[in-house]
Amino acid sequence: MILSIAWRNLWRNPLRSLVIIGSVMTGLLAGIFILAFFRGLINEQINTGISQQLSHIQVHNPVFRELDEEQYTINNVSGVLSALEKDDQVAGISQRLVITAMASSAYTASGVSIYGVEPLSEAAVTGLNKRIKEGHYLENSASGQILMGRKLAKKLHLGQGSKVILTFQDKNNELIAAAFRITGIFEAANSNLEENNVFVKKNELDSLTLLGGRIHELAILLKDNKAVETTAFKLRNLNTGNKVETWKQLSPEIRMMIDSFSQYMVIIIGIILIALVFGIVNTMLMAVLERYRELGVLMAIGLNKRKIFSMIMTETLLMTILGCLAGLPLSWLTVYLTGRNGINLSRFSEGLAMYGYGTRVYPQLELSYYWQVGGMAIVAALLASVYPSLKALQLKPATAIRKI
Amino acid sequence: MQNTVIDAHNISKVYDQGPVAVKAVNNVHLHIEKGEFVALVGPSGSGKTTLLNMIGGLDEPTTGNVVINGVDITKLSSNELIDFRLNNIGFVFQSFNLIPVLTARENIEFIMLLQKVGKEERETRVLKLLEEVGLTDKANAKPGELSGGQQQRVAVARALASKPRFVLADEPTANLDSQSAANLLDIMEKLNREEGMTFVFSTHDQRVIQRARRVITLVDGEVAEDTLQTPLTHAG
Repeated sequence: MILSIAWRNLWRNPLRSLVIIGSVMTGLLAGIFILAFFRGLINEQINTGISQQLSHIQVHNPVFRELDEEQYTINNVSGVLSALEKDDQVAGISQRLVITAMASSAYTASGVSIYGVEPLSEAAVTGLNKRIKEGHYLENSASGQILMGRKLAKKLHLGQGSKVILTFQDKNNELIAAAFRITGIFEAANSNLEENNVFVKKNELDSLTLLGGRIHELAILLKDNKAVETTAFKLRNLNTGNKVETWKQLSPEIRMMIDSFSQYMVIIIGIILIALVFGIVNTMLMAVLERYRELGVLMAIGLNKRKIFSMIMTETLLMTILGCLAGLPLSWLTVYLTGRNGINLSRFSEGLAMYGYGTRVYPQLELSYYWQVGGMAIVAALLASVYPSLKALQLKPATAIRKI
Repeated sequence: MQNTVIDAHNISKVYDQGPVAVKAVNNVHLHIEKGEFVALVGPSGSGKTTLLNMIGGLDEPTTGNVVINGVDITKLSSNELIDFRLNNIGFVFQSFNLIPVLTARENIEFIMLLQKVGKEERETRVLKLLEEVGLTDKANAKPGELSGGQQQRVAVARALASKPRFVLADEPTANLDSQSAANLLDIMEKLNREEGMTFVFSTHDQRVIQRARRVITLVDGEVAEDTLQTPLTHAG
């Protein structure tokens, strides 16, 4: 009965009810789309980070990343590689030497990390060969080749074919200077990668540093991100004395963004719902004041306060549910359509690259967030209707009935 | 005392309007028995509506008490009063005050739903009441689709739907043309005569006053005259 009256009351002033329903719908659409866009940005950052730089898992000597000295190489590489060969989740492994160096041109110098890589393995793990924008990728047949990021090349006033001098220490802490010729200029979504890393062939760097075939880094790409923890667990259990880190551990800033996503959701949706609450309070208060006499009559003929209260709450709830029924599928459709083709952000590519984002964002949001957002909207609407409902209870039937 | 429906003792209502206290009803004693057809008359501002509101438990007397069927309603809580009104008093208002979103049938049925009357009995009673007020063909019309007279007849049916001990009507014919007013009075008289329903209504409409069996005249909130125009007859 209360439900039936509340439902009919909604349509006494269709415009007013539609405004509230529309507000809920728009609020949900805006909130969910912002979340999905944000989630898309995070995913983009994760994918870019994994596919271009971090890979899923890296193995190092436990102190290598702290001290950054070349003598701290991986223990028992063959044992680790043998375990990885047995893991069917492994899609690619790149063995790397990582040396801190100074890259100098005739104009200037810049601190860099030299990555000594096996061309084919590195291509399989990071797709570096696909990101060469000028020149070509490392070739096994030629020597003295180096790949440089576009930003670093620009900084050093160098181009494809230019020579660059790399200065670094060998195993015995002797200073080595070696000349390389830039065979390829690469671009990366992450500007740090473009500005700070250069790639040479591993065997050449190995002979210069006298490391005797030892390596600093194993970058492991998996077929599925879900297998990260399992594979990492297996590698840790080898007890080789190496440090096994997943991409979440390697990039704490990405992990922080993922972990704080739920908090962002509460903040973003919270702001939208606060605005919505004020709208609902205002509308329902108007609805109550307009029907003051009618509410007085209802109370006079026997509708008790609990039922009056329920009626006003039910009206608000119905409008919010209708708003959710319209807003949630619309939000899903918007996220689906924009997520399918992505949103082109190439106009902001430079700014995005600073934070490791690509130029196309694919909005995406798990269904559980839709229910959470819908639930939050309903709770907010119920809270918003408490004041108008209480206001309705304060009326005195004798006074209300005479109200014109 | 078995037939006593309303017993108001020494009731007064004082409104504080700034520095001046206005006595709307002053020290009124009222005793109404089952089956009476009573008109409260008097000029505007004489306290008719205030007195009706106090008898109906819509307003609280400043002093005195109102006993209905042995229950002192001035001692009931707000929620208890609502329940008491639901089960004991029928109301007819000057401006009809039907629920605009409900049809005539639903307006009548609404009270019974509040009383948790079973579906079958509700339907039977609604049909009977609609027949009694001559609106069977308007059962599914909303208040906005009915004339003033028809709305007031639905209001009477609604007032009777809960099987109240008495019906209070505040100026029931004030917004009706003479023909609609006559029809409404016919229905109320018939219900009073045939079913012994007690009616207490405020009015200053001479046509209504002439048809009342007992006329209580209020002047300045006090009972100036209490006249029995027609001998009281009980139904059955």
